Amino acid sequence: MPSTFSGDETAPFFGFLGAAAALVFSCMGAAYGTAKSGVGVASMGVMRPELVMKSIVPVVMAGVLGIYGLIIAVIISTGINPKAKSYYLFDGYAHLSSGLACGLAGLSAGMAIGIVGDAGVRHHSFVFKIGMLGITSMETDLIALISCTQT
Amino acid sequence: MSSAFIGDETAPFFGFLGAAAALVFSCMGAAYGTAKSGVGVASMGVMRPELVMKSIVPVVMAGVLGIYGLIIAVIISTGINPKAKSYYLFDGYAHLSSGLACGLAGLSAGMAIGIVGDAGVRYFSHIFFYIISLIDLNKIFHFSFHINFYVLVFKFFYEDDRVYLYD
Repeated sequence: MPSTFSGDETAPFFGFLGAAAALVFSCMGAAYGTAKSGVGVASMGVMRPELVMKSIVPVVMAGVLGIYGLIIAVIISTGINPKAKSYYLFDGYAHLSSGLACGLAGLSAGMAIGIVGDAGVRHHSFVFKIGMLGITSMETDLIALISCTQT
Repeated sequence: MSSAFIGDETAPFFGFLGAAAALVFSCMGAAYGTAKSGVGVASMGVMRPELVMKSIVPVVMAGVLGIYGLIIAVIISTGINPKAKSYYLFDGYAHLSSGLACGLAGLSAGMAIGIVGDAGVRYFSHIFFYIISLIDLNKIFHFSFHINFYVLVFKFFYEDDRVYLYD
């Protein structure tokens, strides 16, 4: 019965842990960014309610980080199929590293978006800084994709 | 007697740990969100008691996170049945990662709901237009958690196809 598996049996542990790490840590970053910049929007909305809709930009950018983690998690988990393609420890380690890279980079990007978004919204100068943070998180996402497809 | 089991013997350890993780961590997130936004509602209700019922929205949204964890835990634990369907280490690892992903995502969503709900409800006592942006923020958390839930369901359906392929 184990002959239907081609590859190492414990390798999917690392692979699925990479998928979970990509999802979990980028979600933590998205949550931190949304929360911290949301508090900034709340405190600013008391005095200038007409600027609330413009200040939603950091909140939306932080939510997009969660989508990045989702994409990487789906790519990793559809790549683990020991019946169709042999899955060795090498593939498991590669998936783990790409998932950790995407997830922890998303976590740090989300924290940065939260801190800068909070300060920027309170000073009405948020647009360009948030765009640059979103681009750096996309670059780390591309690096994770490349290491994922090394298998 | 051990021939009644099909698959690896230690695999259900990881599977049931995933079910427990889904339930426990999403419940922690729901508790934090309910507590923190509830304190905000309480402190606001002193000055404006008529706005308390409108400010219940973050508390309800945080409670729903616990329901999501429960659904995932039930799906995982009914999927572990080594007598009827073979359960290898592969399935155990998949269930563990699904449960951890759902639970920890729910934990972070609940903490975010708590922090923003607390701040929003307190500032809601000052201005009335604010309820629109509060509900928008809650919808964003809700939406990101829904995305996590959908990817887990997708993973379960996909892995069921792969498990049937083993026979």
